[in-house]
Amino acid sequence: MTPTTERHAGESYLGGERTLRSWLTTRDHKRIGLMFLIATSLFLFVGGLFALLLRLELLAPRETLMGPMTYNRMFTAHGVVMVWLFMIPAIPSGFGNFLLPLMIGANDVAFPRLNLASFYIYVAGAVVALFGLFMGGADTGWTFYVPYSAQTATAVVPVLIGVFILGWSSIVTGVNFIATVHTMRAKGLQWMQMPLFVWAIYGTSVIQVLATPVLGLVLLLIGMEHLFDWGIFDPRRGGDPVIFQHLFWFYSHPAVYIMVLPAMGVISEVVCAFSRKNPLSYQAIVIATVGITFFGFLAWGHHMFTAGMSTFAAGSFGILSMVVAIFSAIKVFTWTGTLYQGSISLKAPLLYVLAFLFLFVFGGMTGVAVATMSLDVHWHDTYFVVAHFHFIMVGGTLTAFLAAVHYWFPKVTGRNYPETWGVAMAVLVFIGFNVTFVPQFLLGNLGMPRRYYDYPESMQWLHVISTGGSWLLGIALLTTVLYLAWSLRHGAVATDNPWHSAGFEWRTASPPPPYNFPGSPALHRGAYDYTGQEPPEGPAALP
Amino acid sequence: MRTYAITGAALLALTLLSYGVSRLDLGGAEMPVAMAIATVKVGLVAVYFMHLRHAPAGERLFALSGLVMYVVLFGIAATDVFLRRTTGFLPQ
Amino acid sequence: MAEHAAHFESLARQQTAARFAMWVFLASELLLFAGLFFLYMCYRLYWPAAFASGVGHNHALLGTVNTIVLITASITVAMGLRKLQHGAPRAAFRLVATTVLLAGLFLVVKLTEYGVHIDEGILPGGRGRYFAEGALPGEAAFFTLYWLTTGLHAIHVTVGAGVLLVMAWRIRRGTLRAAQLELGALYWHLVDAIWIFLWPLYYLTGGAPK
Ligand SMILES: [Cu+2]
Repeated sequence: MTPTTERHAGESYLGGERTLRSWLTTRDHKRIGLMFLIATSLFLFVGGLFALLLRLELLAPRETLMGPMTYNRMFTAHGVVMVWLFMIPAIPSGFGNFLLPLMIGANDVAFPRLNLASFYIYVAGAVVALFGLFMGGADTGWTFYVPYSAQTATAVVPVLIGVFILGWSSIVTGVNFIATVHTMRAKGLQWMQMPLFVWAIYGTSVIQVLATPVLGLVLLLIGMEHLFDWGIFDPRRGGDPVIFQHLFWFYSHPAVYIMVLPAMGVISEVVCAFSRKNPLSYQAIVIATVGITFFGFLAWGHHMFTAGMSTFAAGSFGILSMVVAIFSAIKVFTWTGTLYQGSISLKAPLLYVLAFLFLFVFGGMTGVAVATMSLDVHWHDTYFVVAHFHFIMVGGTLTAFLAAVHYWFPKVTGRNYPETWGVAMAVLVFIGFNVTFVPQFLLGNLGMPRRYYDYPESMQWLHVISTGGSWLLGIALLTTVLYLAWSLRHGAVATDNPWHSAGFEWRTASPPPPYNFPGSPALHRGAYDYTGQEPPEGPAALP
Repeated sequence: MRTYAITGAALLALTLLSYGVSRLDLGGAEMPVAMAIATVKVGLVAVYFMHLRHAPAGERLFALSGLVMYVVLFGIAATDVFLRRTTGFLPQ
Repeated sequence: MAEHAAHFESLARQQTAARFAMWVFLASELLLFAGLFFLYMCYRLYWPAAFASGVGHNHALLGTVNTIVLITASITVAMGLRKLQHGAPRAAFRLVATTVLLAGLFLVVKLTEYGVHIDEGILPGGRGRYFAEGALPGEAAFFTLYWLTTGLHAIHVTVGAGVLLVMAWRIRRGTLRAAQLELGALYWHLVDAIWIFLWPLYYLTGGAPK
């Protein structure tokens, strides 16, 4: 492999101006991406802390740590922080920002100032939402269902306004990324040559742009209901609360794909780089990405099977939900097929990918189960559903996020992380996750409802296992932060392309210089073309 | 300039037409007629004033995507609100 | 006037990107109203008589005048853009300024109408004299939606007019490119397009006139 760029020490995007001011006023997509990554990771820990406290309360029946009201506020805080402050922005606004221009051979995103504005809108939304969550705290859950959200005495309005502002950040970033992909691709880079992560971010941005405004409006409406009692969803004044659910889930189901599509993009990149192969079928993954983007919009009603909607609609939504599962399954098949006969090096990022594959299939299959109307009537609003979506969101998105953190750590920081620790913690995350959430499937099947702080004694053993698992998960994540922080200073200095990846983002220095590619980027060889590209020391192949 | 004048005149004429028609007693046809005229008008605005006629494919794609989402929201959700038992649009 | 931003290859490419991004944003804006239109469809299905009565109560003539005002504003901004593209900034300024004035007129008429509604005791949430005096069930929902939808639209008119006001001023100073005016014009046309649907839904479809 011939290096396409000369290395100039001190000329990376991290060097140059190092003042706080230069960071806060930067237009560089890499710096903005990094700021998003730091902010979202911070909120991962805030949300994680809430989760640990919730699990601790559930260690024994009745009140152990907090009363029911505190518990209600805490699961709301956990949901709001995890969904809107971590999962929605983490991979798209964080890694997406950092990598999108690098992966299409551009200097920056199309609108760098707008990009910075999006970060500040995010910060403003986060501040307002957190203010609401800590001063009083909403007790509605992250779903803000009417009529309760209109009547609760808790501080639901600041939280609604905060999420509304966060939505604007999401829209602005989405518009920016779509315009970037359409107009900033390097000369000669065709759509069907773009890295799969770019496709994933593109699909995600489309959802962000088209679904988020509907949520924004619904949040405003509940705010009005709460403040002025306008009764827009109040049956006594001609309203219909089920319409609220339609509008809420019109955003919030596609929002699952805002969380999962970028995760899938990460998996596509990592799988190819660590099996040193082109994907089994590039086209299949692109088609599945576009398919999920579109069909994801048609499935929202599966959250409403027990809400009194028409039987015909419920059946249709069930079937449409399963169509999305087909596209997801195509991807899983393609990734596993890519691993087959690849020269695999079992490093931490790939371990996270394997964890993803297992957990995502498990979460996806239980998703098909709860999309079946007759089964959902039994499982609706139980821990079965809680376990299902945590398999997708934590098992899917969080493991992909960790895969991305490890895979692109040298790209972002110019240092390597300690591989042994990486591998050990990947294993611990996988174990901790399963110990936490597999018992929750069983609990749900036994009839444990979600959002309850109390339960019968007979269920305690499962809750104890689940809480134990949450500690393992907590320890693993905390350790990961510690060794990553340690590597910032003491990690071995990384070469430009430590994984010998063919990805476009590796064809410049690590960390990249301010305008990414000195001269025009060398993108003649495909992003997954490993023919005749054996790494010097040879891959650590499995027997 | 002439295109704009013609389009503008057509829009104003359709506005008057829509107003005039609404003063008649059309019964059940009232809403479909009003919506049809409005659709034609918005079409004129999009094609001539917003230059969708000469727009690149990307712009057309996203103009269309907004529309498609309306169809998705109204189309699929209609299977609920029209066919729900409690609303009485179905024979019980 | 500064040249194109450093990260773009050319000014033309930057302008293409900006116009394209505007279209993406307009799709997003369009969907902001989707929820309100959707609520209207559902509630009109539930309460056909109440909605017809509510529409009949609104002032069709005022609504129609406002429709004509808004459409004329769309015509003038479209013509103003063409003038600026053809290097006639003075004519462009006059046309865009007319658009802003028409937008102001629209808002004046709209506020007058709101005043009439308040006088009649028609407030959002089924509050006010009108509803206490035996309105049909469902009329509260109609007028709440009326306030919300026209209110949100009026906010958009205000924003659009504000943007065009700044642009008109910059045309006069000779610091506005046609490509920049095009973005403002696109936004304005969207505001117009939304009203074209609001108008029949809230003013015209009230059944036979009494
Ligand atoms: Cu869903």
